[in-house]
Amino acid sequence: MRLFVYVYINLILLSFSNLNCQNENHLNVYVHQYSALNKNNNIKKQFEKLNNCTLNCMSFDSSAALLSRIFLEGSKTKADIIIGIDANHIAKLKKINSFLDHNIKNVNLPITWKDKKFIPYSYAYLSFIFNKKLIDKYPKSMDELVNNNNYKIIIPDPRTSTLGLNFTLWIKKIYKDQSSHVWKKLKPKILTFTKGWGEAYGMFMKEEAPIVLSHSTSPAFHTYKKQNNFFSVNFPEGHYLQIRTAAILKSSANYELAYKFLDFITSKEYQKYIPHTNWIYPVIKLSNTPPSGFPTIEPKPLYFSSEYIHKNSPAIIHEWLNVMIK
Amino acid sequence: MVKCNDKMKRFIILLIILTLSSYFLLFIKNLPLNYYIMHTIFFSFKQSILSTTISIIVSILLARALFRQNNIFGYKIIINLLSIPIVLPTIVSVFSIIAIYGNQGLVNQFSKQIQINIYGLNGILIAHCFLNIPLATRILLQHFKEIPIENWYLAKQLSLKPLYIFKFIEWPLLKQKLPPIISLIFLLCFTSFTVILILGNSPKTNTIQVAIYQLIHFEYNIVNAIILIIFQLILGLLFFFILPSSHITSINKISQDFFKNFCTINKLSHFFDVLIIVICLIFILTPIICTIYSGINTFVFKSLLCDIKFWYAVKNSLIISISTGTITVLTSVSILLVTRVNLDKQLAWFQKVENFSFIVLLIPPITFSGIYFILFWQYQIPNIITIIIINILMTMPFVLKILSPSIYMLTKKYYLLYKSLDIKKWTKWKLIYWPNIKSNIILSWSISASLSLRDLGAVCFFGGQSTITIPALMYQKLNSYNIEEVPVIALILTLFSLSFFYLTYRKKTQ
Repeated sequence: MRLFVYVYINLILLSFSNLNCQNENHLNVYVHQYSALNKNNNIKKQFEKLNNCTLNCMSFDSSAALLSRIFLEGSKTKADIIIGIDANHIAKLKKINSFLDHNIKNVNLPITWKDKKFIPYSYAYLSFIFNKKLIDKYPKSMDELVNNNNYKIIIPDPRTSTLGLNFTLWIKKIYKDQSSHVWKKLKPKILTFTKGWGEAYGMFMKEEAPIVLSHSTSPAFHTYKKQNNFFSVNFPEGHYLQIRTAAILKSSANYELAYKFLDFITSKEYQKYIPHTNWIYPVIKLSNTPPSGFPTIEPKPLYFSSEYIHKNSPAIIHEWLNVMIK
Repeated sequence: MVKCNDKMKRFIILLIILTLSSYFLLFIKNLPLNYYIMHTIFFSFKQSILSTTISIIVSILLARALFRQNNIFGYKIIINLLSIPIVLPTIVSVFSIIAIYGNQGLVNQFSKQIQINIYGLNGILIAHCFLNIPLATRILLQHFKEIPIENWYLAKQLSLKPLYIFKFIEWPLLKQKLPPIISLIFLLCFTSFTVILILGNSPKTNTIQVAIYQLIHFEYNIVNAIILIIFQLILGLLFFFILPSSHITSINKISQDFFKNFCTINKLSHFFDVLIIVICLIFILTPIICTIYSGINTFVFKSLLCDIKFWYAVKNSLIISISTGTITVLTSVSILLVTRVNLDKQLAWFQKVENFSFIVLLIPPITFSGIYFILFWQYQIPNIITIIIINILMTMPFVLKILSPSIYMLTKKYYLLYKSLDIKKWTKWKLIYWPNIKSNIILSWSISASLSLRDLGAVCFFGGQSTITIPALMYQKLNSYNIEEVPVIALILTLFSLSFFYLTYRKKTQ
């Protein structure tokens, strides 16, 4: 019993020893937990050493969680920089908070990037990943997937996951007015809608279904792990582009350091970690060939502007809901 | 006991309040479809009622079988094994159920003719039964021990057949004790979230909880979310008013050897009892064995041990769970000592007030954390303390439920004695309450600690890099491509929860 009390007190003391002595020069960064900054501690230390500062990173498990946190904190937010906002949410965020114009000129995206306040730092194409063990005849285009495919698909729920929302936008972009018919055809083929990408991919790895929605570069991870039975296919209709962005909030206390951080994110020192930590594309050209394991040809990009999404995504989701409910 | 016309009155009140509250829902503006909301509510009720019925029937049979077969081999181990599903994180249980009953699961692999489709209502029912049968059985087993011994003597004397034993001895007890258990399990099924999201295969199988989560986290429509939460609260409150509350009757505990010496059960009943126990054990143990089996991966384990994030997670989890356990137990004991210790101040409504603490179940941790965050964010309370507070509120109902009957029974037994001897408060606690309650307090501590250990909701909201816990780490690994590490972390989490329970097992046998 006494031993127990001692252990308990020790643990509490240990927790207090975790507090960093804060440097005068510090930045509060709200980061998506999936990003390389969060996964690799060396990057953070590198920036801190370069600029003699401390970075306080607060991580969130999804873009939506980050967004809801900014929304709930409102104008009293302590964040200086937010990283990991999906490009869909830019218009929504601009209404909640005000951001500084960035001064980054050259980013290498498949589309021209027009926004002045948000800067992209990585992008990926939505795509379907197939399991060679469970599937012999795979669809080579979105039309084939919708009409002739008999295999089950796992998709994240559009209402709780950014990836799922991007999928509904993808269907909308390809089929425009016919999207509700497409959903009707897809409905029996979908195994389940999961809460997020993680659960969907976990079920796919357990071989619950042969097809899952993920990024076109996901098979690169499996090649790296020497698992060769996963592949993705480029559809001729095009693939939806998912872009992750970062921005500086106007309420930040330390503009100079924040600009330096944005420069750092779009520089080679940071971007070189992105392909093999996050398995998505960086926004600067690291070399003439695509990173190892990545598909050699990038598919045709499809994209909606963020203002269009902000205006129409409730209607798009309601249309999806309408079909799925009946 | 509830009389017939009383029941009818309560039923009519229930219907009136339901219709009134559905008018309340019309205040929701900009909801996608009223059809969608109605369908969601209808499905919530449908799956909860079905899961509750199946769970309760099976747990009555199982509790009865366990009560009568208390001298079979490994009895204590079986009882403790039944507690494991309560402490596993829901996502681990759901994944292990998918591993067994899913498309590539064991069942479908062995039987090519019978293909179970787990995605949909079937899967939700299986998962809910897996999670709730152990809980209900454990509670019912304790209640079975409250049947007065005299009834069993009479049954033996009159040589009652098993059917009549059930009708005259066991059913009156069940009639009193079942309503709170039914309402607890109904609420757990009604507000279950992860199960529905993973196993429900479309918005057709959505419940109110999913809709609330989606409104708060994705559409930021706090107004509509609050309206739905209030609706859910009203429904829950109805249960406490409509269902009669249980009365605590007997203070006699049946000894373990009673059945061996006094009751002979005929061979057929014996056979069915053992059959039920074996079937339920297989149903509950197979997912657990699957978790353990898939978690044994020494290579990943070694790499985890080198990862400093893992050790931070372990440290944080231990702090949170131990603090939650201790503070919850201390608070509950203090509350009960004030309210339950004086018989003259007993008020009949207090039983209902205690049941009110179960309202917390109606608002699962994710929603609760969101509301807490909106209210208290400006005060800059450190994250760990917030998580501990939320976990305390989440686990207090269970602790109160375990400790309250025992304290009340002891008061009833010894009240006149210590009033007549004028025993003061501290000696009263030391001599009368503590020796008898010790095992229950340790049990409630371990339940509180395990429940807070496995909690994912509060941590998702308030956790960050510095307050990562083991379930949050597991979730992080799931969402980045490190899927192999997930079963290992799940196994570690299970082992931690089991070690908390081992404390109670050891104390009980001492």
